[in-house]
Amino acid sequence: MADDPTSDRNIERNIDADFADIEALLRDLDASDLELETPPDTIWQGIAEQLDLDETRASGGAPVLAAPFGRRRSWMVPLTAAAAVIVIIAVSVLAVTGSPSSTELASAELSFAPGFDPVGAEAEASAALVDDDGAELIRIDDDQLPFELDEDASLELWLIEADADGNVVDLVSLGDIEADGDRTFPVPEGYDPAVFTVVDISIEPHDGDPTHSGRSILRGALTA
Amino acid sequence: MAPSPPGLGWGWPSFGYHRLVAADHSTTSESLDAAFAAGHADLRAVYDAHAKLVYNLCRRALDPHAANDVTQDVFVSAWKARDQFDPARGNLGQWLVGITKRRIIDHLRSERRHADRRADEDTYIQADVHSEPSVDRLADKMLVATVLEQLPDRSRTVIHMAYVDDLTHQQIAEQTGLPLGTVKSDIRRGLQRLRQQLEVNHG
Repeated sequence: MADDPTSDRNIERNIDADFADIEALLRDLDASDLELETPPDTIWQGIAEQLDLDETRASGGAPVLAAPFGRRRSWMVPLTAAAAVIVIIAVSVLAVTGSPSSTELASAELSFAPGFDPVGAEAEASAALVDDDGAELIRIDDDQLPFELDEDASLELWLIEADADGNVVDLVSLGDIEADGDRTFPVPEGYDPAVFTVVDISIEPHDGDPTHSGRSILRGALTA
Repeated sequence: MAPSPPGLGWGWPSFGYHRLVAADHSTTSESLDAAFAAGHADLRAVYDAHAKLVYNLCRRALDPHAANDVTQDVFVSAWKARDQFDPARGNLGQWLVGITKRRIIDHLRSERRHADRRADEDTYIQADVHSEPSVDRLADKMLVATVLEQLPDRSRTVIHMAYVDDLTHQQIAEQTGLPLGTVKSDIRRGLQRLRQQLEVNHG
């Protein structure tokens, strides 16, 4: 480095000396090289579907959507065939189960999956559908949830409805999960847990937007 | 409690996943690389950061249909082989480009074998257009082009004028109305940024 590295001459010299390789790469560019196209959405859908199938085979059919929530379109990623079967079983079991007071009707191991918020990789929790004297509740049993992650965000619990092909049809919030709060959440009226069978926990920034942020950390389908 | 209206009107905010991405791109790539290496990667974030690079490289070497297939294949393979990614040997973009180049060459070779069997001269010539060195050169161009695209506007503009349009610093100063010293320091900062993003760390 010369005595005054800010003088024009020295800047030029330094550019020549330090950046000859980068400059050669830049000079090789045509204007057309800089016209970059955005990849079509079908590519991500293909990736999500392909990995979804593979993950099911590898894990023996974990009842989770392996695909991320990143964009609205990713809702359209099918549940695995295994998860769809489990949903059907859950529905049939729910249909025949009686309701003595406080009975666990179904449960779900909640899992992290590719495309979720990375924070979820460390999280551990399960969910249960409980009939409490005729009132349906979702109970969360958490070993580890990232409550301390961010002051400006909460953990929110959702129930998701998927159709027979595994496409997500609808979802409803059950409220925030708080570190020292109650772990039972009434299933909102009009939402049948035999239909809304997928339990999801997401990170929701306090930004005034009540819709799902796309940042799921754990998810699983209720099974009897 | 934040209920979503059932059935309609709950579209994701358009910036959905990008909330994860910090403003400083270099920090983001480093932490994304580190997360990927540690096995905590978020494939969607990796895809958002690098799909444009992989896709545009494929698009320039292959027909549109094959470009889609190969791009998809690259991310699926990368995800499955994620334990093989070593950040000490280069960044994630470069690793993905390495996989992409191999997939493109495999694809071109199989097209060529196919063409040989059919003795179809036209297809043969088409499939032979991109030899391996030209895929390397395309890859370098796309790496630079995607990093250049992420530079701040002014820096990107002056770099473009200096190296793509081949103007002198004086001409750039005249055309942009920026002082000559600003043009020079913008170019230098831009080159430093490019170096940071493109450098292979052999350490």
